[in-house]
Amino acid sequence: MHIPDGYLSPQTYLPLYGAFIAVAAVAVKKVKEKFDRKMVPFLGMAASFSFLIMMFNIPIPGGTTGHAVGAAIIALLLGPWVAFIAVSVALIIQALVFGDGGITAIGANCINMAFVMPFTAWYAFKWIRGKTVSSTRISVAAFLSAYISLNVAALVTGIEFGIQPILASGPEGHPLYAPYPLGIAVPAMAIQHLFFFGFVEAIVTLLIFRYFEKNFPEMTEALKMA
Amino acid sequence: MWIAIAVLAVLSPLGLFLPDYFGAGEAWGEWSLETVKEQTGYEPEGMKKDADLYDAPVPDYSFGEGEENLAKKSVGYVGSAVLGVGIILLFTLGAFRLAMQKDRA
Repeated sequence: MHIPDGYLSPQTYLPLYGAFIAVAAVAVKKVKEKFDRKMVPFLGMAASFSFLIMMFNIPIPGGTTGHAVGAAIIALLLGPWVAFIAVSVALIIQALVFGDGGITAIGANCINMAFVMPFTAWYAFKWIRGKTVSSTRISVAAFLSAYISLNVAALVTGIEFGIQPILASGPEGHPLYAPYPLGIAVPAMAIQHLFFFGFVEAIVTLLIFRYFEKNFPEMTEALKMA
Repeated sequence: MWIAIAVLAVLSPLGLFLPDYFGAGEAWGEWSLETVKEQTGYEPEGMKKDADLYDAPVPDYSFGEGEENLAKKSVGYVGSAVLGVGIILLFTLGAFRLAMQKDRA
């Protein structure tokens, strides 16, 4: 889901950079409000975790590869704003040091995986959990919120790819950037995440969530939400 | 919990082995310019212009030279994992220090 350089037109990546900077400003403010020294190692750990989990490329046999992002579990454990910062740090290092994701696309990738995803997970969890104290329902909420969040992020990414031919095409009608229209890009991104990577994210999230729920419930932000 | 992070770093080459074993290619929408040309029959102009805009110091989690087989690639991959986590931790700590200093001033 890391959009490389050359896939997005400036009409796409510049506004997304703007959006990213705006969200980052709010995130820093929000996190500073409730800042606690003890959070620094958790932030570092969360960013490291996200960085590493994205290195676990999982194949669809004979086809493409994909990976979990970890943004859902980080949101459930530390809250969506901290998750935004942690996953953004991981994505920026991936782009700058390892060329995974383009530098022009840092804004887009951070919006997709560090903003859309943790916030989707957070609110999906809230909605599915309802007011229950049932452990089964909480587990279901953790699983589904992760599944949904990765799919929403993939959908947004698919749309970003898919609108490129509309935004910029050459004189011969060839797209200048990502070549596939919405009708191809969105299903391609959606199907692999709906049938495959969404479950990977969901299982990873559920396992880690269960561990924290059992051992460190006081540290699990999602359990504190009203 | 830091142990878990270390375990993930050491196991990271699974992210190389599994796709290789199952013959899976590049992620959707992350193809090289050559692959795009093969798939579509042309090189998108803008993509051609921007694709190599930036040279990452450790491209594709590989230190390049001599990483011709999976075993050697794995060493580079684990090295990349350690390097990435190291940079992340330094950055997080640095940003925190900076924020603290600013607040005191």
